[in-house]
Amino acid sequence: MRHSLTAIFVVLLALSGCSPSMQFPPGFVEVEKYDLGPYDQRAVSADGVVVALRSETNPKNASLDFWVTAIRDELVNRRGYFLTKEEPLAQSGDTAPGRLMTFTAQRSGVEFTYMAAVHVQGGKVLIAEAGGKSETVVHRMDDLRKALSSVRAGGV
Amino acid sequence: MRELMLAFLVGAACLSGGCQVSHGGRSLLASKFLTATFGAPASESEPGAPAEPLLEAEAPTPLLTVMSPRKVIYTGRFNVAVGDVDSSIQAVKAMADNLGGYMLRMTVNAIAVRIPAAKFDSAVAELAKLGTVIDKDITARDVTDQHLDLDMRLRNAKALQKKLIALLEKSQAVRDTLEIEKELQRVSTEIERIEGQINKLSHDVAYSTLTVTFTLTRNAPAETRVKLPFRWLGSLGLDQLLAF
Repeated sequence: MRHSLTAIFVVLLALSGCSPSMQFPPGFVEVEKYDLGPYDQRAVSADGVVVALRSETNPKNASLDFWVTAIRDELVNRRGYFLTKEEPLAQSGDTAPGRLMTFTAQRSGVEFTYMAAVHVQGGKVLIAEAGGKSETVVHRMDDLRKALSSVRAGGV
Repeated sequence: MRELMLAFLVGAACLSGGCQVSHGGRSLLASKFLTATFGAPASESEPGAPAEPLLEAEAPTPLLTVMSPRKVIYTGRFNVAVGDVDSSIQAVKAMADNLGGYMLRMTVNAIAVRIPAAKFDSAVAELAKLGTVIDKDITARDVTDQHLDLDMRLRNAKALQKKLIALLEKSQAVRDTLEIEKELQRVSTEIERIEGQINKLSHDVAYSTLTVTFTLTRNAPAETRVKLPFRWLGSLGLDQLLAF
């Protein structure tokens, strides 16, 4: 019986370590499963700032530079975002070094901020995102940066 | 009276748009007209021609002096893909101000500015920094001949005006006086019109026109985009993140 419980615990521990994760900023509430969309994790603040984490297949094992360039090009050259800052993210735990990009974009005359932290971990690309009205995001910038830097690759 | 008639005839020849081809400080058409009318060549190379004194009030400027340097009007039309049209329009306006130019007109997605011609290249270089230049069309129109022609017509008109004033002072018959005054009025109006044209032409030469139309990057023509074969890239961004 003891061996069985130990085995179940080890399996659960292993399973819990298989999916990537991030720590949400204070004041954020994780959404229900049916609101996850394409994300592995997603949380929202009462004033409408959203953070989320997704993992995508990295079929050719492309480099971090490849994905940073692809994402920047997608957002800036195809969708009119303005890149306002790009900074490196140091290696953290089992997660390889990444890159954090901060963009602004106009929506109905209102400025929004969008942040994307990119990590490449073996066969996966991990993207932690945050976004909301700039006037709201600006007050949470430190917390959001900390959250986006907290990505753990897990077993990917 | 012959002198008066001569003044009218030359004035009519010069001011009715017949001075397009200039020759030695005088309209070719006017010269032909005088020759045909009075049977004497109106050329400066032939001394003693009867019409000569009429246009000698102002010595003709040497042709090379008048023509140099070339007078060119530069016009540029650009279509630039940017992420934010409003701020880009403001940036062009600020650029024009900084370069000593001014705004001509502005719409929701376009702006036209006048830039000092000497700084046209700098302005074009600045524009390229705003975004992706999708299309550009720069034209240079040489208006040296047009300017020269207007200058000649102005000098001829002024000479005629001076002559008419002299005639008016000598005139004693009321009918002659009225006719001279009427002609003087017409010539004065014509002088003002030509001066206006010269001023506009000079301003167009001094200030190049730059018209910039902005296109939102996401609306840019397909050929300026390269789409990578990773669909999830399309779901990045605010639209997906903020939608529940």
